[in-house]
Amino acid sequence: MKILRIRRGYTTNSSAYTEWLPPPGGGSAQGSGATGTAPGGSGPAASSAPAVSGTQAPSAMAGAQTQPPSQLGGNSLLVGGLLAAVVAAFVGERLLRRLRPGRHRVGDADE
Amino acid sequence: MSDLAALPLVLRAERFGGVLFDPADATFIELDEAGFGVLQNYAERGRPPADPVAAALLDAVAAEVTRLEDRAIRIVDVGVPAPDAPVPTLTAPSLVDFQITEQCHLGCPHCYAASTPEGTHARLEDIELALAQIADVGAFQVALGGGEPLLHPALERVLVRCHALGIVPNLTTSGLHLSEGNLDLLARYCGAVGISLEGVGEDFDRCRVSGFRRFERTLDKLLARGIRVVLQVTLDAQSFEHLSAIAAFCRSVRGLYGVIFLAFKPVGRGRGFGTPLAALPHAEVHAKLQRAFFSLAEVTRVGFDCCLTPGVTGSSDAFDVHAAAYLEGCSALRSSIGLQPNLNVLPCTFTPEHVVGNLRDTHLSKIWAGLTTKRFRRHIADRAGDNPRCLDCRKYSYCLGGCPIMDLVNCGRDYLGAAVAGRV
Repeated sequence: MKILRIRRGYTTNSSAYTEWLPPPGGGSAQGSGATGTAPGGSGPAASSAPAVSGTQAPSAMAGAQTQPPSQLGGNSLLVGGLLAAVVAAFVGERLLRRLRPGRHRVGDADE
Repeated sequence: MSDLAALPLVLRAERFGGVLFDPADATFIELDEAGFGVLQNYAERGRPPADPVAAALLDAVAAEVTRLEDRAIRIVDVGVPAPDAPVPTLTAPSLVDFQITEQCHLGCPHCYAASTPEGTHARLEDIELALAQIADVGAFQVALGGGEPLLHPALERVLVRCHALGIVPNLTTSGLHLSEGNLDLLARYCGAVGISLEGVGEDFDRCRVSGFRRFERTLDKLLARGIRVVLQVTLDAQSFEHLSAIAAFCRSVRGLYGVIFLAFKPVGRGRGFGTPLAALPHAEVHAKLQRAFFSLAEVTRVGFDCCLTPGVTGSSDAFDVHAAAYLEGCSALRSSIGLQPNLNVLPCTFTPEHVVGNLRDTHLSKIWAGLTTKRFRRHIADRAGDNPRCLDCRKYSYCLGGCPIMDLVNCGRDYLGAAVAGRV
């Protein structure tokens, strides 16, 4: 049970509500109306609200996957693994044929 | 005197819990699921919880909003979970960028909306239909623009309607047609008013026939009336050379609500006018944005539109680390939409060729969950997913690979160069 993040600021253009950066260190330049929850809970919002989470991860978009590039990296690994398995099977099969020459000759189509 | 303090708080359910919005100062408090439940119970029953942990949370929330006790809370639950999207997405837009007119008499050479004196206004019945749907889904704010929104003959009724529905209207104006009556309306109903600043002195005059002196008079009028003024600085490769002068001017203005830097988009008449920041080396862009930010953050709010995110993220310096905690990448169809006068719904107002629906025949909630909208979100993810520079970038989660439509600004990993190489 906690506050995940606090943001403040009216938006006059198309960038939803993510555009205002609080001043570094939670300074007072933006007055009481712009004290975001600093990462690690060090901002004014955190000090006045014990239930504020110290999470660094932006929460507004929680619940959806955020790293398709990494996913693609995972897919690449999977494809690479499968290719390696096919190559290993091919090489293994050739190796078996060499180790068992009799059967190799019988099974060859160019015999 | 602003009427926004009279509006109820808005509590909107999200997949992670929910958001409490205070229209009086645009505070967004994001809560986890249990926290949302506490606020929901409080809103429905009107009395604090007996449980001490829940009561402590309520106290914490009360300390962050302008007023919680005896204040109405409008609960919005669109009834469907946030779309299962390849990029993080809210249950509904939180902001609607609404072009209520295509009419403007300035004819600025860089106007992305290509507005003209003959441009048409959105019909009042269409605006009311749109606002009703925007309220249905619990969007917190509308950014009214155009064209010149002050030219809309029903502006007062639009603002009154926003107020009645509990939506905060913000507005962007050139400052022309700023009558005493209009000043009263803006002061009473608007959260903030944006005016554009493309340069100082002659640099401004080159972009706007109204001239810099008129701009200064407009600024004075707005500030004198106590209106929250945002200076919107659009940066292209040319105006970027004068960023330090622009920042110095902004520092000299007392009482600003904020300064927001926007990436120039080659859209509308702007297509033949300017050059996006992508033409400049990223290191230079990042360093100058950083200097402007630290200089201005001492005296006012400073922000960047989401289109500038790759330019804001640089090396591992203090600016980057600070910004990373707050940036969320392109918001198009993730937490915002663009809306044209004919009620066409767009990812943003800079992408008129990407219509995802029309509010006259489909409700906003259905468009938000629709296939065309989903395809656009897939496109956002694929653009980064297809780019080797984004593939393993640790900043992806808050950059999302920049604008999915246009090459606006490069990043420290030269992701635009990699994208071009990939296309070739």
